[in-house]
Amino acid sequence: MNAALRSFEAQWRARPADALQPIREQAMQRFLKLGLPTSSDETWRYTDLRSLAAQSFQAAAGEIRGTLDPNAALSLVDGTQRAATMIMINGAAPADADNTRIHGFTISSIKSLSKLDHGALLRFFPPVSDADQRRWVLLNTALFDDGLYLKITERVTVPLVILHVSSGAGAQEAAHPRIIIDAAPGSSATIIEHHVTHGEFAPLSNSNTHIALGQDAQLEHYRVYATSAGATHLDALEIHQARGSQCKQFTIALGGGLVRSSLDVYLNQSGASLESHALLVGHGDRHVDCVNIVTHAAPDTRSRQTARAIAGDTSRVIFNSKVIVKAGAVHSDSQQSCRGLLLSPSAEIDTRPQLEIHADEVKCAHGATVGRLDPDMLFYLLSRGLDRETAQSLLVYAFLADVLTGMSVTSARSAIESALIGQLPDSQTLRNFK
Amino acid sequence: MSTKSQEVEALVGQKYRHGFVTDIESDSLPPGLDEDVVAAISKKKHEPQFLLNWRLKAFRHWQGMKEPKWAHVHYKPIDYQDISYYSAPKAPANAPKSLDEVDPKLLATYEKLGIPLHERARLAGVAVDAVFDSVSVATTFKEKLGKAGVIFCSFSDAVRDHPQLIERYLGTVVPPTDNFFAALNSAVFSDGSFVYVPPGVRCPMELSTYFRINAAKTGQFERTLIIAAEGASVSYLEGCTAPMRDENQLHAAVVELVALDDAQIKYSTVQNWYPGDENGLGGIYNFVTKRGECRGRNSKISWTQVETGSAITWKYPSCVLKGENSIGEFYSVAVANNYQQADTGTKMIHIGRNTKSTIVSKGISAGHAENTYRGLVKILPGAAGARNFTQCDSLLMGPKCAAHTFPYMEVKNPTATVEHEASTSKIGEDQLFYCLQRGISAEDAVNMIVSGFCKVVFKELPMEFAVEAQNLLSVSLEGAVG
Repeated sequence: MNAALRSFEAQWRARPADALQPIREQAMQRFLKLGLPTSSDETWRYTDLRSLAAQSFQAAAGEIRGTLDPNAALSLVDGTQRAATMIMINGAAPADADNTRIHGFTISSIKSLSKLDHGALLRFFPPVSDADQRRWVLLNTALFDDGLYLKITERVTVPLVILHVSSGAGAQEAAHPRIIIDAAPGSSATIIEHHVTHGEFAPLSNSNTHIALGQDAQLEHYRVYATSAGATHLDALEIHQARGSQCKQFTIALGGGLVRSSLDVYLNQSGASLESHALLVGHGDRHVDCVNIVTHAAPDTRSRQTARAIAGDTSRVIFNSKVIVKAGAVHSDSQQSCRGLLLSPSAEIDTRPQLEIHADEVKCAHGATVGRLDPDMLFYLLSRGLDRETAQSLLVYAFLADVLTGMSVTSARSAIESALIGQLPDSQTLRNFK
Repeated sequence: MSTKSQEVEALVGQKYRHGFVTDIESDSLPPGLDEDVVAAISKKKHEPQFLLNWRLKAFRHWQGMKEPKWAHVHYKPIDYQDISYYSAPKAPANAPKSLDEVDPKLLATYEKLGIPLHERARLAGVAVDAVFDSVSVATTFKEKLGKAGVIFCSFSDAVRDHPQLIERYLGTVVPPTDNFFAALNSAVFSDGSFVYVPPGVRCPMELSTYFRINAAKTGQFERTLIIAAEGASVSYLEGCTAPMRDENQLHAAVVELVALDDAQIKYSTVQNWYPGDENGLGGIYNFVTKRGECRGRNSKISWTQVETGSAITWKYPSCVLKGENSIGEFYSVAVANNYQQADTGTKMIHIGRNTKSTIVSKGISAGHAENTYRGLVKILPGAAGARNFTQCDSLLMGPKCAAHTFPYMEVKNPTATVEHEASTSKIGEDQLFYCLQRGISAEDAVNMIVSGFCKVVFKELPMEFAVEAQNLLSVSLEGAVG
């Protein structure tokens, strides 16, 4: 047993039992049995957690040292657009969560829901799984202190921003944020999860979000990782979709040292459709590992996945995507498109677009490319009098624009765009050009 | 689609045509594997000391290895102590010097398979080194090849006559410690083929070997080594059929190709081993390690395979592109019917500058079969200007089969371009309808569409094999409309 595992076990023994104890117990036992994932686990093939395994972690406190910029939560929606906000510090639900009133949402902490309606809560805790991409979720289930439960009850036009603040009192702390989003049939909403760090130390963040979409519900969900360069972030998102529901998901990796982002989508009933967009930016020595698994479990389901990966400096970007079409899920329609752009000789992009298909009447395709900027395009721009730097930045920007254009929260889009440009080579040229 | 499903089942359920057993006395070792068995094999083959040491080293390494589990295939654990590791047809004291001296029963076997050895070989201008179980029985056209300086013989002959070449090249592409099955093969390999094409020589004919598995409970461990020296070129064909058998048979072959400067090797396979019956009982386990190394600049290695047989196929013909401007190609058609499982694909490792690779894979699944493409394209930091194009398409026939695509792309050089495309679909109802309304029967229409689907691979096959491959495809799939 490695140091990390020992420390998690010690935390587990120290925590008092609560209403979710049987589920937590089961998850922890399984986690201890399976251990931390290693590079011999298929979905962790390109991410080495050995240095993490050698550390021992303490629980991060659910409070912040110093003061948080009051507008931080709105930085993605820049205050011009009306937006509701909630702040979670190291995974702790706000103290007044149960009394927060936001139009179209019913909000409570997971703890108080477990007292009120234990049975309803259990359906958001799927049975423990041995799958290696869900390994850290087991730990989250066992150790999360309290989380946020959001029920979307009607059609909401104002986006809700959840600001996840990671802030440690010292090195080697860990937090396990947990969020449950429950969209009632016919409801619609936009939710932005914005991950940032505050202060000198960033705890290991092992976050988990569980989304259940009712019949014909619509959700636009954003995950924006903008943590500091030393931060380690393991994030898991699970989406279950009922008949006719539509989900549009954006995963944007702009920050962090080691970012591991997983997405598990289950299209459980016919007519469910998913659009997933990922924008993975490797900068400095960042390591970004993104794993998407989309399961078509019912006939007439549809999924679209677009990923754009850029790796500069000495960074490494990994994009894994798997589409599973279960037996009987006929007329499933799935497309994956993954493109990678290498900007530096010491950067690396690894990609695995996978299809696992157990039904015959399906339409599944994927395309993946990795390369540099197209010399023909560059030549075209140069021949029109642009200097090389500008031409290059322009092409890099255009490469990313595919994902950005899909975003309907325009203010978030321009904020992300601006942050992105800041990480590109020759960003100043590009800014001037715009 | 409900088109004549009974008819379809009848066609899909066609019995294996090449299923029969020839009674020939075999000189076999008892089942089991230890150092003594390895030494016994080496001794039976009068091998030099270096080869025995090499085998023992491989065996010791193998003992510490675990059977790999990552492939998308399921089978009962193999008892490696229950396999006989050596079986040779018992020949009269003096080995046959010409075809006339070959055991007539053996010749009759080939007859049944539709390979009239002497006739066909002469007509087609193909030198056939027919491997029956594990020992070469007849070799033709040796003289013609000899004049050109090409060495084409059984592996044991090569060990006897050209030990220096064997010592220099054996295990340099697939090291004996490479993987579980390669290590096992290195320890117990019985025979195989050896080809050496000297510098500047273009091999005057297509080289071909027919492999057959006979004798019950015999694992077959072939070892093939092909070396094309500077500026040489060779085309090698390999074809397989096996008799019907209820017990699973293990086949763990190793094929090594070495291409030096400006050399070209084309390696084609038609594999039609016994795939098991319609309930998934029996069939061959085909766990093969095939790898080619483009060692020299401007060299080229091309793999073409048509895989219709075997209960389980686990095979990744690969190219290591070391030389500058070297080229690797992989063209594959893999057909899986009934309960067959195929996990096949390729690896292209780009090491040298301006290396190019092309991968075209066509997978067809029918019945309850599982067909997986698994491929790795790896661009190392030094492979400036490397280029890869991959296309893998899957065709599904029937609601219970499965098709998977697991590509891996690892790119460490920004000047490289790697492209991957894949699609999965069934035979289009519109295509079928178009053919039907023009008076073509459903069966012929499906055949046509499938042939069209595979055409890009078939056209890479040498003439003789292209015809055989078409026939095999029809036998395996005719009318399998879901």
